[in-house]
Amino acid sequence: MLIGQFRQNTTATRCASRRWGLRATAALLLLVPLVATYAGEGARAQDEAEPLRIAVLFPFTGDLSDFGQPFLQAAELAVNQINEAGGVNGQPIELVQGDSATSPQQAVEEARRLIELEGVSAIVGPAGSGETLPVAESVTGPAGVLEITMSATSPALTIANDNDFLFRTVISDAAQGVVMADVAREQGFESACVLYVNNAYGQGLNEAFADRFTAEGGTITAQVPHEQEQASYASEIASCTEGDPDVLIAAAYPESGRVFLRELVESGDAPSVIFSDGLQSPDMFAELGWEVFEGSYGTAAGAPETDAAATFEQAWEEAYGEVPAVPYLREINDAIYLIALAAEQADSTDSAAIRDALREVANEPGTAVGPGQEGWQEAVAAIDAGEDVNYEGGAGSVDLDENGDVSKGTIIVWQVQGEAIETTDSREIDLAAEDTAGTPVAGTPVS
Amino acid sequence: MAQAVEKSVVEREVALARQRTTRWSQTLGPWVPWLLIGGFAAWSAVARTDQFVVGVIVGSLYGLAAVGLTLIYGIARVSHFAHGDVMMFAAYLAFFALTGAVVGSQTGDVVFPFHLGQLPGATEPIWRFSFGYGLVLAILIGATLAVPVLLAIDRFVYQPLLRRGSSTAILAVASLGVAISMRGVMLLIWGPTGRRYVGGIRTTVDIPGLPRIVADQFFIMLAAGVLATAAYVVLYRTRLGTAMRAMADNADLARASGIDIAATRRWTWVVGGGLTAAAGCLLALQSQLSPELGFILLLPIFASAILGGIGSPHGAFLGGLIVGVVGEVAVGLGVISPGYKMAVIFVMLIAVILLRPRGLLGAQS
Repeated sequence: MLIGQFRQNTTATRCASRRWGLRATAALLLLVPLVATYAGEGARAQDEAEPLRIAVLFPFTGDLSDFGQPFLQAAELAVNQINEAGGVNGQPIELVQGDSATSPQQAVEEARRLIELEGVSAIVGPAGSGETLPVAESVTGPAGVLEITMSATSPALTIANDNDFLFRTVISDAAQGVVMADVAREQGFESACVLYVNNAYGQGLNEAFADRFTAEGGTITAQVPHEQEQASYASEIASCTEGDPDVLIAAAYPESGRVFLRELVESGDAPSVIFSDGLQSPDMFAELGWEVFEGSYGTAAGAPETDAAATFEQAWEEAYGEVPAVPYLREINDAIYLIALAAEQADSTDSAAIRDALREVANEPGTAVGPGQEGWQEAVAAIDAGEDVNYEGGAGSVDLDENGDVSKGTIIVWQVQGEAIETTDSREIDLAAEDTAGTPVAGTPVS
Repeated sequence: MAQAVEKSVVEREVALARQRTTRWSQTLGPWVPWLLIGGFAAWSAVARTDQFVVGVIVGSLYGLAAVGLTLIYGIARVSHFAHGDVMMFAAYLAFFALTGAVVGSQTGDVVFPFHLGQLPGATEPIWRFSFGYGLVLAILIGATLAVPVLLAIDRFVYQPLLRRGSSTAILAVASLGVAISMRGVMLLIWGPTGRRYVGGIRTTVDIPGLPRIVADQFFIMLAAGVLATAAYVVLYRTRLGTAMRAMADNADLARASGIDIAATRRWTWVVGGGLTAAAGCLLALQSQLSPELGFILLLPIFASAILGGIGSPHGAFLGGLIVGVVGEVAVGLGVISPGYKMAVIFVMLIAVILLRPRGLLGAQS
């Protein structure tokens, strides 16, 4: 009947109805964000009965996709532990997933979706500094939603225009660059070139490394940026190796690394390579051939040997088996625990309230609490008793300074040995103890 | 009166001067881009042999895909934004034919029992290549299987839109939708992590006086040469090619001359799509397979087609070579940071378009 009527419509009315349809669509499109905002406001107004919603914004696709799945497992591990131990404010945490695609544009869009449509109170991620910076400055900062990244290491994040809503559970690359330079000098390398991914991560690490390496008497022959996921990196490699450096510092991500590392070796007399944390991917080395890079060193943020770290490893082994040689799993675990503790302390799921409580639960003074089911139960008991708590995580003490950074951290040195990535050394770095002139205090080997 | 005479003399002088300058630019203008290109090619081949060779390899693959793009644009009237993803999709089909692997649960890949890698000696390396005859068969299968997929997309997406009289913009957006769907399918079936036909470091060949060349790259150059020749023969030496070029020039006139429009359109997808698919498989052999790579390839391919002159197949191939070589060589000089590889290509593209608005080999209007 209805269809029949429409068919009988004259062209004029059809046009009119189409125009009306357009207007209606436009009106609807305008309404959606409004409704979403109101829904979000409404949801935030009535806390208590409300479960804490945490989003993970991880690289399930793109240049860093090697890490997406293990990252998600780390987040799920923490959420499951907390939920089994009673949840936050008596409610289980709800975990929402978003894909950052290792792309700033996609990460910003996903962050908007997670806040506006999913109404999350906090976001863990994204992984790369190139994505974290725009997300913090254009989405979470202005919207007043807490964002904790576990792996964005660029020094640029320290001074980000984030409205104090951006935090990280990993130490800045001011530390990793120092250790990379130290390792290069210890190996007796006099000259180095840096091949770095052209984003905040690569640039930050490049500068930190170059400052330290030249301060220690080394020579930088070239600093070559590269775009992600190109068909070939022949010219980048040629510019980098032109000055015949002793070592090539690769500060990049695995999907691009698969291409340029292969081209580097195939180009003939390749220098030694020192890898950044972004390239600590067992999958990548398996595909390139472990024997090709036998004995090569790399660095990454690592965990000190504490009870909290042992608790994390034990829980991981029970849930999934052996802990993979993938970086930042502990940092993710810590980020989730910090958000949950702050929400418990604030007795709210409001993002600003959680942020206000975050430094209280992360820093001294207070009863030291750790990850794991027992750790969570102790922490909740302490908070209920009105005590201060101080979270000491698997990745370190995660004390957050005024910029939302951790100043004390551990950088591990890893090496390709046989068919595995083995940690050979771990060094504690305290960035607060360094002088500002760019000549940082040496890391002290602890193992 | 005297004033009027004076004025007409001045006018004549001005007109003559203008004529002279027009004559100058007319005689020299068309040659400027060719002189620049020839000079640059000769210089880079001698002074920057390493980058020149890689540029030629990558560029010939851009060129093949750009030939497909320009044919599809000229004849099927679609600005095909799914072009890069078609390349990757074909490469993944070839990968599947060779290894039978698809992404399983979190634990790893599921391998289908029937695949070419199982044939006796199929993975035994030929000469110094990293692969055996299995990969050659797989590439043929991948490129062939991509064609019916493209025909189906044309039949069910583009043609209905064209029949409805949709504008070029709507078709372009529809093809963008196709691109995103194809990427989704690739992510779903083969996962987000990069893959390759054969892992590990490849054997190189040392020829005195030439840079080290990976053996596989000889195969890529050979295959690209064969494909380009085949495309040339089809387009310029057969009735089908004549019909296709006639349709690209003027569809109404072609129809009036008795050319079967629908059949020519289908054949365009077969020829253009097949070239593109084969180029995708070869590019995956040079670089890697990754669902995102297709979209990244789109930019240089469009640049190649526009540089050569939209609608001109040999122009598109030449455009691809130029884009490939300039991209590699310009940033290898150490003056421009490799982070600006694409920027260099596009600055050059703008310069060429300003000098020759129809592209290098585009039809004169």
